[in-house]
Amino acid sequence: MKYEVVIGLEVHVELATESKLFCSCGAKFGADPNENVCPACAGMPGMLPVANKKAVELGIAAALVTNSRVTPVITFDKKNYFYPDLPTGYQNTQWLAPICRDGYVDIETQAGQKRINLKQIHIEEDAGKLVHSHGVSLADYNRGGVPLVEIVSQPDFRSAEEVIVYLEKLRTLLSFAGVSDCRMQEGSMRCDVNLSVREAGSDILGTRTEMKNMNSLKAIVRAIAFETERHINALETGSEELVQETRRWDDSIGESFAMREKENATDYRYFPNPEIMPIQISEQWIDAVRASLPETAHDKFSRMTKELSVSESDAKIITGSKNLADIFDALTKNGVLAKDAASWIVTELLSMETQENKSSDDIKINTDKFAALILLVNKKEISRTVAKKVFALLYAEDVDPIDYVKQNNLGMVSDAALLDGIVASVLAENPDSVGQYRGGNEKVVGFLMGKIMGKTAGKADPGVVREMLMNGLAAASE
Amino acid sequence: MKFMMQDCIMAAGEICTAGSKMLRGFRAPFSAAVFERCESAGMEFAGLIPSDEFGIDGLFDQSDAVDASVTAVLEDKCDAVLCNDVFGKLRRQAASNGLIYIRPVYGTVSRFGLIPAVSSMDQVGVLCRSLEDGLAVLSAISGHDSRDGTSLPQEAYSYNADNTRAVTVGLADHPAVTINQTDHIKTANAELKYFGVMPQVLYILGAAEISNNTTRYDGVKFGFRAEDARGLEDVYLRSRSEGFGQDAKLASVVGCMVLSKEHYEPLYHKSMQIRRLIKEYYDGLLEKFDVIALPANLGGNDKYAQSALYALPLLCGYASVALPHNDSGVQFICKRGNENAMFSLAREVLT
Ligand SMILES: [Zn+2]
Repeated sequence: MKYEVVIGLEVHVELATESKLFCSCGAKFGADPNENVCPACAGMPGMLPVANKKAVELGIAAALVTNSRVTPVITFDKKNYFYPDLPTGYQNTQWLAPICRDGYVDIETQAGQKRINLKQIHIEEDAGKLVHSHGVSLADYNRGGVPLVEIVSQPDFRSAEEVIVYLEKLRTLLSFAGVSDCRMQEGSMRCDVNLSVREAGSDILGTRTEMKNMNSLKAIVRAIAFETERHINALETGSEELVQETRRWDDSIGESFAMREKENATDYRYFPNPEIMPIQISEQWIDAVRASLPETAHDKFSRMTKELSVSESDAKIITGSKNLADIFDALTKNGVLAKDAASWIVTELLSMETQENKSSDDIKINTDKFAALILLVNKKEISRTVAKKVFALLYAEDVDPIDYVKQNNLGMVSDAALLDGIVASVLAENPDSVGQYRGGNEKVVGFLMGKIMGKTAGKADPGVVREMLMNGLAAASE
Repeated sequence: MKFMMQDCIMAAGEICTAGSKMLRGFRAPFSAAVFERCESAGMEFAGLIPSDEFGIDGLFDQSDAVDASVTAVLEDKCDAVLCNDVFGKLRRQAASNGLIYIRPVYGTVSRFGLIPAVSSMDQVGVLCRSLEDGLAVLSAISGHDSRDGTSLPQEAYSYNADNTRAVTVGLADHPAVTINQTDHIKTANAELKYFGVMPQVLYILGAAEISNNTTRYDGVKFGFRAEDARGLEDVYLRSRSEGFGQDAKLASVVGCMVLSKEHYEPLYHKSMQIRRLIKEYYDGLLEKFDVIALPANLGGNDKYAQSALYALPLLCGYASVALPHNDSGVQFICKRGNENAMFSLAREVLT
């Protein structure tokens, strides 16, 4: 029998606000435990929630880039459950009137274009985190109250490939709109996978299981494969009865496990939060958010390829990551030609990424210094060879290229007398090569160039050297 | 002028337990907005007064024991007490003990620093001996506070009982309410509807919100933790079993029930709909009348039915003032904007 897997996703994305959803605590990642905590987000009585306008605006932005219908009056609701990562015993979320509904995201897979429909997007607050060690559990509420949106899709996915393409598309849309940095490693983008299996062609959904808090694309692919297999196996052999439940994916073992029954039986007792007044979202407000949206990846790609004569392949790589696109913009703002900026990013910067096995989103470089370095090359103040060395140092140790070149005397050598002498000595030291050239072997030019550049420690102007060398070889051939 | 506060209102550094063992030893990390405003108006703080647990003691059967706040004013320990009159007990006791209780319109006084019981109804009010003192305190504590999302935008309010314009009063059809007509007081009988259903709506919504507002007291972060509790579940169960009093537990159980999947629609949601219906009706009635007059006590033993008397301002956010009058005391109720007319009427009745 042929089976079909049916998948729906709930994607959680942390909003890129300065402060938390209902208090003024900082929302940045990476602070010391409980550094970003105040009486409000620590759940002290007497504090009242005051909604963060910026979070609502980022919610509107998320609605716009996913073609969703913004709800004219949004409200917040309380979701009750006891766990120490939740200092108040409830989570503020949107249950009755979420920020938007009925959106869609178009994706492109091997099989062609496909539309993924969205049920809704709602804004909610993140929980804190528990650290278990030496028999004690410690609570860190830094993430508690940080705003996030949950993007709930319809069960429109039929393969892991579609899921991955969708997640990547969502990341591009949201990160370019400034909604979130969508970093899966840091947990600012995570995903619940709802999966069921049915006979191909059937329009009745099978029993659904949910795997929560997936935060790596690789793990998601593996989890979908495992869970699909498990469902098919259960359907075919009756080896186990499929029940609707939440399962935990253990990526180290490569298996999913049923959570305790209790965790599946929670009644969250949702109800409207009387402490937060309904928020009206006018057409003018939506228009203002639309007008303030930064360039989309799609528009940036068109501009780069059509107006800035960047190659399509470079433009594709750069617009695939908000971080790279930001670096590109910073370089061009500093006077670097678009084409040069693109090629330096794709060849030099990304080789660092490969060396360090980092993602494009994690790569960091001082763009002022990076631009200064590229400009040194363009102005022929240093050679490309020197530039590569300095780039490695700039990337690793943040050296200042101008100072470094000056201090280490790496400026381009184009002193004719000096270079003449070096060319002559290299020709004299390599009579065999000169002979081969005379016999018609032009490959030796590269070899001799290398020798000369070596003697100048890579500092010579290769154009000048090449001209001198050709002249020298021509003279020797006469 | 000397003021005190129920210990459900926070003064930085003071032990503030809202009358609950669950908050034993809890030292307020900040001061309530109303406390700051009284201090900056030059009033002298004379201490906190123990309150019923979250102000809900006798939730379903109000006790007759005189509240400690009422006693404090009667014994002249202060001129006014800032209180949260959760289900009407303080209005009832004020009126029958020769005192005055003023409850402002919801949203005019900041609830920042008030330990919540029923968030959609909680409102700091003033228990006092003289109307003028009470209005001075109320004027001081009213006005917008950006730390309270339900706070209305108006920056300041000035309350007095000097109104000379005509006041129309809608009277409950009850022998205890006798307001004399004068040049500028016009009375008529008002059709007061929905009193039969108000107690149910009040307790269903009240219990739901109390159950939620007390989930933060779990023995994990602050306040009371059962001494020999081991493991998370034990900490939760033992601490909450030993820490909460009977009414808080009852409210939790009822609240959890009315919010459960099974009962949300027929109980909680239905009550919200009735609450809206009640508000629509009384918003209309309070267009016709500036003030509605109700008895502040019914006497007799049916405390549950009696709670209907106090429900209207709670469910609709209206202002009210309860004061001594005849045997039962009287309670006036008005919409935002008519407070000074209501206070002038109160002055008239008190004289
Ligand atoms: Zn905070």
